[in-house]
Amino acid sequence: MIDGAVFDDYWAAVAKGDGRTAIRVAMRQLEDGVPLPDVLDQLVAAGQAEVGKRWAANEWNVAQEHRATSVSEEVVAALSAIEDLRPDQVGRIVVTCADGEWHALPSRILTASLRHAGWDVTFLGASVPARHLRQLLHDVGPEATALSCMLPVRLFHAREMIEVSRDAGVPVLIGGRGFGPSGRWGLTLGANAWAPTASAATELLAGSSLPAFTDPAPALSQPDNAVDDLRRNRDRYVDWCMRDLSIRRLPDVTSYSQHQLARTEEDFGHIIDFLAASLYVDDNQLFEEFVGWLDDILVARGVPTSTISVGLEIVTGVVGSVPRTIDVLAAGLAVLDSRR
Amino acid sequence: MPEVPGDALEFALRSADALAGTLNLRRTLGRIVDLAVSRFGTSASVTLLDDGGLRQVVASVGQRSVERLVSRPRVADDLVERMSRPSTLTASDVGLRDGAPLRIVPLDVSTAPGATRTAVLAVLGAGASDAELDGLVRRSATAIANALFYDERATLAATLRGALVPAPLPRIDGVDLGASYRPALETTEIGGDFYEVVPAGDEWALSIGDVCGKGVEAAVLTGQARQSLRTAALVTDDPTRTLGLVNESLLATDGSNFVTIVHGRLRRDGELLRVRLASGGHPPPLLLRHGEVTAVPVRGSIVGMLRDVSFVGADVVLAPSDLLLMYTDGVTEARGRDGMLGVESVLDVLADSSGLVAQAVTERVLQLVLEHLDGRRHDDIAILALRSAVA
Repeated sequence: MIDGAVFDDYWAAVAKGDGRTAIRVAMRQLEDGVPLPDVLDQLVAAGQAEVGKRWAANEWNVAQEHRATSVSEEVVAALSAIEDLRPDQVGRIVVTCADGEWHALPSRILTASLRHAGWDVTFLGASVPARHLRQLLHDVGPEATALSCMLPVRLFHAREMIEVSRDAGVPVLIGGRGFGPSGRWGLTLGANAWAPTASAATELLAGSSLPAFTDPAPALSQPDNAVDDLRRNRDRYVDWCMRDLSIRRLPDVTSYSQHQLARTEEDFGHIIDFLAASLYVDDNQLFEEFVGWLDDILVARGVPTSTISVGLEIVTGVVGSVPRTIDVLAAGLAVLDSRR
Repeated sequence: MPEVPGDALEFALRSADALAGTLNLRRTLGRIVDLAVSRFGTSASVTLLDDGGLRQVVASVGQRSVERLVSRPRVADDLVERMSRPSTLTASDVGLRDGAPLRIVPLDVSTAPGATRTAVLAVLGAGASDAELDGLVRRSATAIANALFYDERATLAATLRGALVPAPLPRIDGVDLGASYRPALETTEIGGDFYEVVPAGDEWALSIGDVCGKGVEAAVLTGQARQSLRTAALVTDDPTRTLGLVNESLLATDGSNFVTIVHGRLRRDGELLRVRLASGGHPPPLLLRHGEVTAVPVRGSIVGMLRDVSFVGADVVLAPSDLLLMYTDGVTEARGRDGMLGVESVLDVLADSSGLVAQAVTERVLQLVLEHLDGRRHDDIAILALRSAVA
């Protein structure tokens, strides 16, 4: 375990955007004999989790968040560069993010950790179209695909990646918050295994819990057309929500600037996307967590607490014709009620 | 018709499905061994002798997975000889321990007349019948033949691609470089956009360019343009003259298509970076300084199609906090729900990127573009950034 004072030094450097000091702190841990995967998990990944918290609490703006993330990337690159990483005969792994997933740092950390363990890693980076993965699996022939997903709204694309990989007989190991508690949502979508951290993933791959070959992913059946409807008509529903909002002429909304209106439109989009994802894996908790998170963020930014309830009511009016959809939206409103 | 036991039928279907899934050679070999062990015995192997030498995959029951591929480029001549007569092979030849019964069966994997390929499947154990083993042998032979064929094609494609896709950026002391590249979706990894940073005397030559068109034909011209740029950069250290030479060179070879290029020379001067730039019909580079973004005033004709061309260069001195961004029009002309992305959005993101490492900046711009596209088709996209790495 890396000690708290070391993390504080590291964090101070990340917070200042001071890449050199952050690299120096991390390097000293390696020199002191801390294994690379632990440095990656306990400094870099832990630091990045802190970055997300600062942003959510509105203590940091987007530029600060990006600067800190840029430092984390620098540290991973520097730590990866010091080792002479000639792959042993351990095997091959493809590490990738789903299409639309821009949080590449966790998969970079995994890549460094796996290379350290002797794997021959093909790292595809952020936002990879499924057809690129399909091609690559035939070319590389890996033992496994490691798939990262940080936002549940990418679960649709994550499913495409799982299908493509399992069609080629390659088992899929998943990681990242987007796959839900203990990877539950990703496992529902056909992933073969889940790991909470890069070190855990590396250990899991060294063991025998992942099959060498896998069958195609089982078909997903949806009890109704709620998901299809939301995804197909998403933009139209957002427009309707905006129109409904302007008809209601809420006092604080009528004074919204162009920028605030654009933000509101984005938020309606998010509500519908998370709603669809929640229905897709048939788990209200996905939407409930999103509503709690959105509430935290908006409250931290001084948005009146009633705004999000009104937003959910408007969305219910616009899209709520399928019982399951109404149920999920009600669960979201219940989260807000329990907080007031 | 002989009666087929239910589990034999199930195995036949399962193995057919399993082998249909992959075109990759090592996964195919591994899968055959995996199937054989699951049905026939305690261990199994596939031994393949192809142009790449002897490859062998072995697995036994209880082992998590197939043992890794063993490539042995130098094989005893007598083994090569005996591979074509499986009855002469021993357990150790095929990587298995001695034991009974040992069945070694040839696999017909020849994909072309005269090809020197032989393969055998060996199974140690008494499970299932010879008839069933025959079935697996037939399916395996076809799968290996297909995988070998794909392997050839894939190797050829990878070789071509290797010459055309951007090479990894060099590590230059005191210089922080970053690049992002996303080819048009309908081609695979090769396209008409390119960028490169290569040594040129005691300086570095940097280029970003965009060949008119897409796909393999564009990629061929891309290769020619890159080659001409490198050669011309050896002849002169003046970027505008370099573009003039590239123009002549491309006119001499074809002249029916054109390329737009920003080309420059980079030299480190203490903590400063001195960059001399020239443009041939390409969007001008953007300079980020103290949170303000300006376009570098370079301009010139398209390259490779016209006799009379002119190029106007400009010099830029990058202080440690400055950043220079170059991009192709796949960025600004990306079509989203509400039309083209335009340069304004790029300027906004760039103005908000002070202090970021070059790679983080190019990735932010790429993210901006792909989010604007929201899954729509797009042209090739290339982005190159550099700044001084002296803190």
